[in-house]
Amino acid sequence: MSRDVIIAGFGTVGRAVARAISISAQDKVRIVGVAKSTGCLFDASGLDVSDLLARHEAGTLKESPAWRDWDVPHLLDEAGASVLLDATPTDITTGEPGLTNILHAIGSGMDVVAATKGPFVAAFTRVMDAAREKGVEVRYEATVAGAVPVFSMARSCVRGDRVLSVDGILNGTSNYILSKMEETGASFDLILAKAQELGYAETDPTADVEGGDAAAKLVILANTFFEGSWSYDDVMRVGISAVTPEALELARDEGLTIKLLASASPEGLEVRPRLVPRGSALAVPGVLNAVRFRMERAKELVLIGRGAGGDETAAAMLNDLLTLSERA
Amino acid sequence: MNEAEIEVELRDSPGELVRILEAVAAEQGNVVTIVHDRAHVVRGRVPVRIQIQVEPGRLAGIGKRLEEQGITVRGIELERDHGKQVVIIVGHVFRTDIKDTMDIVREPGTLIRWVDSRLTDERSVSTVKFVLQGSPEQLKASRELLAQVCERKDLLLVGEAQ
Repeated sequence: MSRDVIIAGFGTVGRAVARAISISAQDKVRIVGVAKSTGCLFDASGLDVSDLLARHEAGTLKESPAWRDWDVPHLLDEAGASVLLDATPTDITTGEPGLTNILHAIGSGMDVVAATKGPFVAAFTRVMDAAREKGVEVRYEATVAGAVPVFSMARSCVRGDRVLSVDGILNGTSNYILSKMEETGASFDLILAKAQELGYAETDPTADVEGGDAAAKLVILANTFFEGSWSYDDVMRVGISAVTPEALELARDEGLTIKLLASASPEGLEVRPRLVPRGSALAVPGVLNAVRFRMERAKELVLIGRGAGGDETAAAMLNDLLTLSERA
Repeated sequence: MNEAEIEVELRDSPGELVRILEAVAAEQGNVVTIVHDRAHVVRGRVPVRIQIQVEPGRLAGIGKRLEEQGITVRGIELERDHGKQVVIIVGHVFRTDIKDTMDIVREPGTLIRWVDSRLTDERSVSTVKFVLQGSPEQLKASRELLAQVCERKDLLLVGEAQ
């Protein structure tokens, strides 16, 4: 059975997921709507992805016959699709614009696949309660550690077991900076400037280097695996900007390295630089992410992979989408 | 080889320390650290704490040799469950009284086995490494105390992941 979907957000992730669907799930999924912040494209018989991508490149999306001046809720009402794929930018304080989109979709009886973290940091319980009430499913694999199937693994591969704690490297930019500082002996400021030059770090790197991004992901993990409504303010946060190359050198003498480790257990949430053994599963280099589960029976399970990027995030969204389709 | 700790009292006169080292060497022991605390001389005797590596069966032999030489042995103990833990502190570690910081770390009986430091010119901060040794309870207590001290002194504490 083919499902009609709407993609909200047509940035790097939104375009990558459209491309992934057109290549790998054309027989199961039809994209009927694509929403941008300025308006949307809608075609009840299905949008042509290659045309969309070409128009995006050329800056002519607005000239498409499918262009409408609708916002996302309006598109959701008109389209009658059964899944919303939300790839809008994240605001972890308000959860918007994803929160409004997602709640509207749930209210309309649609399933949701999200890549945007905000709604699951700011309003996890509200979103999940609404979904339960409406009997729809909300999946958000792409919100934490990009392509790494954190939630799928913990939910599907160790059924009946219990997650005791989760920790890991959840921010690629800070991990890249620490890795480069260790490799070159250069200072934090110098490596950050270099990373910005290469496009690995944002112009305002605060969320990455001061632990905010990792903290937001940690809140989603905690809300999923531990009872209670965890919020961003529950996370004890220390970033990496004070870490010196000398600290990495002194750590190396002991067979250790420094990582920005995010840790969650029912006792509390914390993001801070930690010493981890070199060569251990958490000592991942560069922009990689690593997530370690401590389970009651399975004990330690570690997943390592790419935590960001269009295709990587689209891989997680596509799996969520196809998992929904299998159920439908 | 296991780690062990020997605590003795020595006369405060030249050549005394060598007698202990000879006793350790005679039992194929390896000296790791010596704390020769001349600030606490009592009745002309200096307390000395020695950390060694030794085959467990030969530890008693060291104690016997020391006593035969008339050295007062306060304690001799094999550290079965004593673990090592590394902490790194960044900031104005010296300016905020490193001795006070170390005294607090040692409060639960934890031993600071090794101290190493580097200066960072660029930010004029220091980076200091402590290698701690103690029982799991002692290390836990030291970690908690150190976290409080670092917060108070505005130092970045980087401890080992649990």
